[in-house]
Amino acid sequence: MVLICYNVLKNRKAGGGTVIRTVIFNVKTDIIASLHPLEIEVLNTFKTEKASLFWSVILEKTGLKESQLRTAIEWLLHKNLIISESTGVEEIISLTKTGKSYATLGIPEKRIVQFLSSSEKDVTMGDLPAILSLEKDEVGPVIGFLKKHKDLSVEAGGVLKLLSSNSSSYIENKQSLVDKVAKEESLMMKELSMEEGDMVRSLYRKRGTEQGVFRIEGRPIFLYHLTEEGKSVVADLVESLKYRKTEVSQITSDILKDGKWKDVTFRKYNIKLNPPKLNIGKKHPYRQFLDWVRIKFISLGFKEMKGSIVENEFWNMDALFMPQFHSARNIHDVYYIKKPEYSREIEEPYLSNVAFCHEHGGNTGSAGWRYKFDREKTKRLILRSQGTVLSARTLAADPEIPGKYFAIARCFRYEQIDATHGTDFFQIEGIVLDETINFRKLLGLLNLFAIEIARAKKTKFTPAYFPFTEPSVELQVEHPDLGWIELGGAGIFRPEVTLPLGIKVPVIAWGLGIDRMAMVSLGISDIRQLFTHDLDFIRNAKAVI
Amino acid sequence: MPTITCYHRDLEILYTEKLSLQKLSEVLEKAKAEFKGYDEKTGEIKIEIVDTNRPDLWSAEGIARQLRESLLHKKSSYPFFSATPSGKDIIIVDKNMADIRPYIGGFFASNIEVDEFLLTGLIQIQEKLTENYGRSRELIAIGVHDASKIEFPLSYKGFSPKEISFSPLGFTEEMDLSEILERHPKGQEYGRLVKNFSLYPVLQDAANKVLSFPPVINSNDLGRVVVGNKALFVDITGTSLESVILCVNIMACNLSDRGAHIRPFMVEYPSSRHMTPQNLKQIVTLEQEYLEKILGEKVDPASIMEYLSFMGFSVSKEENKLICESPPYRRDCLHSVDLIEDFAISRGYNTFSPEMPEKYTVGSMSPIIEFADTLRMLMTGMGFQEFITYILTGKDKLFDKMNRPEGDVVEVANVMSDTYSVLRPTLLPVLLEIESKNLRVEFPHKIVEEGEVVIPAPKEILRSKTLHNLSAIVSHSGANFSEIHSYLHSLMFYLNIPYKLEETSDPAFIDGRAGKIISFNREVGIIGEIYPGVLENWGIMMPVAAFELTLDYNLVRSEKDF
Repeated sequence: MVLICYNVLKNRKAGGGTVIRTVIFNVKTDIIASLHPLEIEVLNTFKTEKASLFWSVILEKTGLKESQLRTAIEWLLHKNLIISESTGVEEIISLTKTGKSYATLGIPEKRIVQFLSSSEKDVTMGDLPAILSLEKDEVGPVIGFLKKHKDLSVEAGGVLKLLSSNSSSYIENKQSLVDKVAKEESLMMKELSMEEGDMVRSLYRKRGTEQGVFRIEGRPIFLYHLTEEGKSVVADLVESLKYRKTEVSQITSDILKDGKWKDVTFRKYNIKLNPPKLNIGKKHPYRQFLDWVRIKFISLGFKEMKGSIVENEFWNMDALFMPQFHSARNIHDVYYIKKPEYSREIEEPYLSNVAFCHEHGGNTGSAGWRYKFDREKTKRLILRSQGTVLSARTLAADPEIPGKYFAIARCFRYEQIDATHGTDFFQIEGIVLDETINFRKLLGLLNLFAIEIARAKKTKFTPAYFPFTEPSVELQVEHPDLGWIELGGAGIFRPEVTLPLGIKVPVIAWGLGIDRMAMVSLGISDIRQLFTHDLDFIRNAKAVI
Repeated sequence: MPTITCYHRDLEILYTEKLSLQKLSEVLEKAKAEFKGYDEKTGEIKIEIVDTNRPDLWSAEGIARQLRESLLHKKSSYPFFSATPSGKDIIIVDKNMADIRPYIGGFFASNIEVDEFLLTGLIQIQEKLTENYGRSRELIAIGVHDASKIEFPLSYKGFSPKEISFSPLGFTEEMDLSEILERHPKGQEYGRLVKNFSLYPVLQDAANKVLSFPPVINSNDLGRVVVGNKALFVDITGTSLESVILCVNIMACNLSDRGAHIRPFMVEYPSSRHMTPQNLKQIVTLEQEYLEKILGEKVDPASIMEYLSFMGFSVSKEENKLICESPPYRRDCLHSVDLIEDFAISRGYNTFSPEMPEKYTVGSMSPIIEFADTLRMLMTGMGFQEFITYILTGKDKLFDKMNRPEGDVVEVANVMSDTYSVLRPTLLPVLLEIESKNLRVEFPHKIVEEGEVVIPAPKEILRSKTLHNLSAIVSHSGANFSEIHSYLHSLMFYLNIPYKLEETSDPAFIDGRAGKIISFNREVGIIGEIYPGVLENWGIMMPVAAFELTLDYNLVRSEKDF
């Protein structure tokens, strides 16, 4: 927002007026308040000087480390308080790895002279690397150098003989130059004397060579100028800082413990910057949606049913009064189990009751389907093809009356997988049992689902057909995002379903199709994406609300 | 659910009044049908009929009839049901048909001129009746013939495959019956329905000319119907007398609705005979009290009678019962609840005011789901991303890729593809499959799935058990046993379920880094570092450690006998 306000300021400067001055004031105060201590130190160097300073001058005046200054300059550039100008290149000297070891251990020349002066035994060139931890190929040139400067001579048998007990001034100069560079970490060539410069040039590491004590690098020379805004901030800085306490960025346990937090101010952060997104642990969005649906039904007083994924035709179809010749029962609609093909015995008296009911209506008052019921086929094992099988089993398992039950059941249909079909899908089904159940209550229940599950305000009921319900109804709702959609089918179980299973009260059966709603709330158009393996997609999927 | 195509104009003619598309889509619910589209170029409309028990609606004629009765209250009249067949209008059924395809029916339709509308309607209803209702001609099959060429009476008789020859529809050369099954496209398609018999059904006229070889093909001579024909003969053969008669009735009513004069035929079996078309007089009794209980409101008997008559029923009153006779083209009333629905449809579902069920019930989650949800909460709390995958999977993923020997699984007989041919007995393979597809997604990966698995269990009634499992994997450059163990350990700690690990050897895991999870002396899962060979099989380039648990609700309830 600081930057946005600032743009407003620039654009409307010509207009003047109180409002804008307030903005100026606010913007500047905000900028000063957000300044890091490093930035303030840098700006302070400008205060009494000209509005333009070289890098080296700022470095000297502030006494900051190079890395600190680099950071502060970058921030200031970013805030548009200064701009930079490149004015040429300067040579920067630093120590190589070898140079650094010379700084701590001493240069080899000095160490050899010192060793020889204190040694009582004869020493040859070959003895030196082991004694002084020098590289073999390092020793040769050094001895050559010492011979050249008449510091030592090589006698018969390679014995080294010191010619002077004091090391020459050249050795001392070289050592002190190494120490000087080591102390400063880096120096500019122009800060050295002529002799020092020559020495550096004779000992610097040439491109491609291994040896070398010094490194010489070219670095652009930058001149920094205060911008108009920078000048304005610098002018106000002193006044503002009078009231400024020590600034702290991260609160630490220590300042809490010693109470120092009372004497400091907390540097303002730019809270508008986006942090990185975390990969958190979370529910799968589709399961979250299904969990939401589950809670809805529980809150409406429904008990959850669970069951087997492998079923026999008896409970999946026959008990639901689907005739054995029904077109939805063939190999192109249902998955059959390969081995074993048949379940064990079907529970009595349900088997006989259902068989008679299909054949001639049994004691249900129905004409039945009038065919010979196949008691072997009814044991055929299949994959559950409809959630209603759970309702049928619940009816046979001494359900509560009045009672409400629901299931969120994985079902399987023999269908080619495409954008609207998966091999497995979830069906949401249930029943309501009570002596007072009737068609109008069925419509009332469906209205309740429309409001609670689909958040719909308008509903429509149209005739439908299911083999196991009569009357059957389809619920259409006006969904806030989708317009009119089919939300589900329902009906009152036929007596041919309830009586053979021992239920004497009317039973509402309903099923809802909520995949489309799920897909809308997840923002997807292909049902296969509900079961995707794409970790990125799932990680980034929004929570369902 | 059958979908039919018919001309909008044809539908209007049959309806006897203008019927805009808008109006049509609103009123189709009276026929339990839905408007599915209109083709402006051809003038054709598509209608889906949701009731699979009312084949009478599967044609323009049937839809128009229902709408005429429901909206215009015009009762259809079919006097031919009370006519008597005249002398030669007979089909004689040979005794050798008794065990093959025993039943036949038919009628003569005159006073027509076959035009585009009639022909389209005829083909439509013929296809829907034979394919949907007739279960691809097994239950019933229909032949339509140019009646001007036929000499009556007809005979329906079985012939051995090489005994008789004729030119089947679409061919000019004569073939015997076995050649037709071999060479004719319809023979190849429907030959299965007769191949197991030694004799094949043939319908012939009095001059021994072949009308058809039911349920396979008509003759090219008598059995070809074209625009301009003035009289038709329709035969229907089948394995259920009731279904044959119902379909004859529907066909006859449809043609009658187009102005045809229908002449019924007598079908003579060796020891019995019946007429077709024939009113089967399906009668269902309806008690007013029962209707009021089901619908939830008081209803005046006169209104019941009236609204049912709009659905084609003839209703008479006997004390407090209503005697309802189905129209001859319907056979779907098995119980009085069917009448109650028809009454409600006839009056309109939206004339019933919804009422809230008032009984108080307590809702609850299934215990296993409640338990599973706790585990899901703990796992996501430990930073795992949940997945949900298909229960159907492939054997190669369960065994080959996991380095595991092939074990017992529940397999599907009619597979759509090998990818989805068995029920998963474990979740771990699919998690590795997920891992294999996300090699470039930012690490670490911590994923979990909780879901149903199915294992064979021969002693169970359903020869299998559906269980709830939970599997979790971690994958990143430092993933190892101790990390995954720490998750399992924390999970069990918060569930307050004691457990121990016992070394096990499972080729999916690295030897010496795999353990069985034991709780209350039961093996409830497995944990370990995935064997690099398995990772290689999946193409995974990162270490993976995993565990899988079978959720046994008893664990939380068990005695603490550890």
